[in-house]
Amino acid sequence: MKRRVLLALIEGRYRIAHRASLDSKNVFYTGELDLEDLLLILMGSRGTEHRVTPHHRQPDIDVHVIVSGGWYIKFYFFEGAVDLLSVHRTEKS
Amino acid sequence: MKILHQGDTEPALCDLDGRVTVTYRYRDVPFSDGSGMARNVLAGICDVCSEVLLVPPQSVPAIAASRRRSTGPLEASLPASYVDTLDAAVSLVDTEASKEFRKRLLMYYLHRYARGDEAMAELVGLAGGAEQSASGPNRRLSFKLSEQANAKVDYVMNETGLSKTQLVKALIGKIAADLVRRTKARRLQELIALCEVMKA
Repeated sequence: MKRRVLLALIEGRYRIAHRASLDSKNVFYTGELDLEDLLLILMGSRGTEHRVTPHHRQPDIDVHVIVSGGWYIKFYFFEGAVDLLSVHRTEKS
Repeated sequence: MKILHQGDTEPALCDLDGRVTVTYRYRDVPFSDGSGMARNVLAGICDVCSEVLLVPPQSVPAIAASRRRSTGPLEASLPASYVDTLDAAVSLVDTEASKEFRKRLLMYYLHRYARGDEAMAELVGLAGGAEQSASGPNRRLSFKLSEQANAKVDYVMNETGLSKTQLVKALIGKIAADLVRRTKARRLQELIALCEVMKA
């Protein structure tokens, strides 16, 4: 999974998924992270920091969540691309 | 990176309609926190429900630029007592400090919250509490912030749900408690030392 997502990101086969509005917290928009930073976070993440759940609308698609180093990254693979649902800091309690 | 053009189509997943086709079109798309919108950016529109489903990588720089414009400088119109309190704290740190130090003091505290040294919940409480009398004339505070500082302001606003004015009021409330009412004597000493270093 990690290799697959890294490769898709490096090759530019990714899209940012939205629901009507642009997620204000998305770090690509706030300038907090760029693609290279995201690659480094994913590369440094461990298997124990990775969860998979079925997509609520399309259960045959796995939604991957990686929570690592204070970052929350959520995505799924779709037709050869990676659709990024969230890339933001983890919520603090 | 594949460059897309208006009218190009791709398969996508819609929360409402499942597997659909999106058609890329230039659209004005609002930010989710209501802070403005990215104008005329290429986005993938669901062919079934016409909602924006996707943003391709090529649109990200334009959206980030809109985001910077929509966040802009840190500006707030506050009851004069807040500005007086901030100035009182500034003069406690350094009697010769310029108005520029208002910004540094606010950013010092903002940074403490962003870094987790202080609890965000406290900030929400300070914004909600009637720390200062709201009577009297209003005065305007306006600071130009760096991109990183703006990102930090956005982060704390997103985490706390506060508006810019509420955030500035809450930060001044915290400064009043720590420095003006002297509950954190060590913090004041730390800031005085920091100010000396900056002037050196």
